[in-house]
Amino acid sequence: MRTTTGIGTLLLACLLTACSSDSEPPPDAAPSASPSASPSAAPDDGFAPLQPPATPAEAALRLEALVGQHSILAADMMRARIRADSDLAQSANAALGRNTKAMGGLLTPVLGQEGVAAFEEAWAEHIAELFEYARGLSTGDDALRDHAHEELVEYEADLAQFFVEASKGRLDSEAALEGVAEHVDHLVEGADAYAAGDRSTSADRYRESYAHSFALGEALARALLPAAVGHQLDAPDLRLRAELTELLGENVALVVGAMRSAVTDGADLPSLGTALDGNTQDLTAAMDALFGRAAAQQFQEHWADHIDELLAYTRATAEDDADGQAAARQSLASFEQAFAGFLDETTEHRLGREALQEAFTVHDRMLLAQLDAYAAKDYTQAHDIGYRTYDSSFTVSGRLATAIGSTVAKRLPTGGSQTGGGGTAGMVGSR
Amino acid sequence: MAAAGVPRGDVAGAVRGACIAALVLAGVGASGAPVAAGLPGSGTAATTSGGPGASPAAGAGAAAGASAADGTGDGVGAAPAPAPTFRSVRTYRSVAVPVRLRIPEIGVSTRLQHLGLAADGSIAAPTRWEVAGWYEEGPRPGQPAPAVINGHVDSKAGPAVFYRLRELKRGSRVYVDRADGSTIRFRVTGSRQVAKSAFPADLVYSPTLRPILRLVTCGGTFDAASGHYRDNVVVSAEPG
Repeated sequence: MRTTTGIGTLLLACLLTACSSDSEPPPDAAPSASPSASPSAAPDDGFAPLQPPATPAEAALRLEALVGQHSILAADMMRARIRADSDLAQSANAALGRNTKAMGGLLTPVLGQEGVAAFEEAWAEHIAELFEYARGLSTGDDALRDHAHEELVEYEADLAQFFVEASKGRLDSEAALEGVAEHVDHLVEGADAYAAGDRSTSADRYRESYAHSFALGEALARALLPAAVGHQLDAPDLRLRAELTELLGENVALVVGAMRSAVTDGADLPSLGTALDGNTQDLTAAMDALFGRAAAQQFQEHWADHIDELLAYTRATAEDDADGQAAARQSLASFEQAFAGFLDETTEHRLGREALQEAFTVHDRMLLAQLDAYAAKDYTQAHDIGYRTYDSSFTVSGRLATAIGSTVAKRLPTGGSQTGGGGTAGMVGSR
Repeated sequence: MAAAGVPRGDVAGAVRGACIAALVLAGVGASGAPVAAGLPGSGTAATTSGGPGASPAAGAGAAAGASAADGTGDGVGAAPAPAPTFRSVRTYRSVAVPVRLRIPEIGVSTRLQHLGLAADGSIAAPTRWEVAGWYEEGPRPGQPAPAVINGHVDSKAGPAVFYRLRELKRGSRVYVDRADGSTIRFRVTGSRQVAKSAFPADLVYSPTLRPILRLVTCGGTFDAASGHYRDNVVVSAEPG
């Protein structure tokens, strides 16, 4: 198990320094309609930067997170289009462009500029067709929707073939096609359900799509990045980090979605809330497995308080209730202090209470800031901060995984078990 | 759709730009639908209207308190509509302790002894040859973590409960009955034989958030001097 010294300081530093969340250059072929596509022009708001990956293995983890983020942004874009909310759809699309560019940046060392250009083209095509599919649903234009679906099916084969060729034999055609097709199916089925008013099914597909996209990202990382990366990803610390990143990233996405819904008409809030509860229960179950039932129950109380206070702030914002906003901010500050203390105790002071509290404070500020921007209809700003809030979960999960892994490692068994008397040694030894 | 298998150089950027431009333009008006409402704001979104571009689902399934979606408010002289509410879940499904292991393919059906650690830090061996044991200081089978069940390969006189463990193949089914009456089914994902002298404890026991089951017994040659086998056989399984 790897350990990190000065984890708390690192966490704080990572969350408080510079502004740009992406190391990659801004997209050239825009989402140019949206400034949010230009991370190089990130605002001087003091929010988290995401440092370039330090190792190929970290690049692999980042790729997983980016493919997962893609599924969220794509679903959000389709939902916005189904609601015929063009400003929102454009901002989501700009964020998708930024996400695609970030993936391309990670793949450049192995695919080269031309390979990445081909990847970005194919990836952008499927985004465009997903949008067209949603437009067909929105307008009731079955021919448009069906044509988009045909294009998506064609795209699946094209993109799968691209990945197979780029993998130089490490990814077989059947697995590639299955992975890409399932990704598209989740998004299409989620959009169908959303358009039909079946928000529950839509929310289910939202979570399934995210989980599958994370797995797809891992498969692509193993197939496209240097072969040694695959072995590194099997290491317990990286495995746990990937799993925590997935859950924490999903939490950010769902909280952001729930806040945005709650500040508008709330139509999506029940289904997003159900999905959010599912994520909370998954995280709590993980805490139970790692630290036992009592710690899990404490964790869930803190976690639920946090979500509820974020939505209390949202409600106050929707009702133009400044006192309510202030009260929610105060409650959040109490949470940040209490939760930092809890996690620091649980991980035997491997994280640092003060640094944790600072990190949570910044995290909450980001969540509130994206909500404020959204409520003000500044979707570009809302998506930019939302994007970086998701990014920050990647950094936080790394620190948490290291601290949790080190804490748990202390009490793990060592060595193998003596589970034989030798009565059939002749048979056992010859097998 | 163009084939995606070859680099396209400048063409790629042009096509990508065109795709996204078309996408954005379509969002603005290619549908011919009025650009909708549904925008955020203090309850004014309640007046989101339908129109050809609006979702048939718009306003459906509103959260408690989302009465603003009735579209009747004009914001003049009316109290702000209550915003939607949500209260986060404060319970979760706890996984009960395992009481029985069943592996029909190799004729195993055993109650489970609870195991702790031996003096050397390894998981203690079950005290009876014919009974397997669950490591109770670790996760329970079905929790998002690696749960461990140990069993003897043989006694001093003949086969024991996990004698045929190594016969399990990828896809073999394993069942764990739990104290609450539930049963979780696993499918074997792999098996490996490892030297005890180089036992990969980190890979076998380290935390993961996937619900993995590890079945462990002895294998390899027998060291008469120590009275122990030199290897362990570790079978991994996941729900399915």
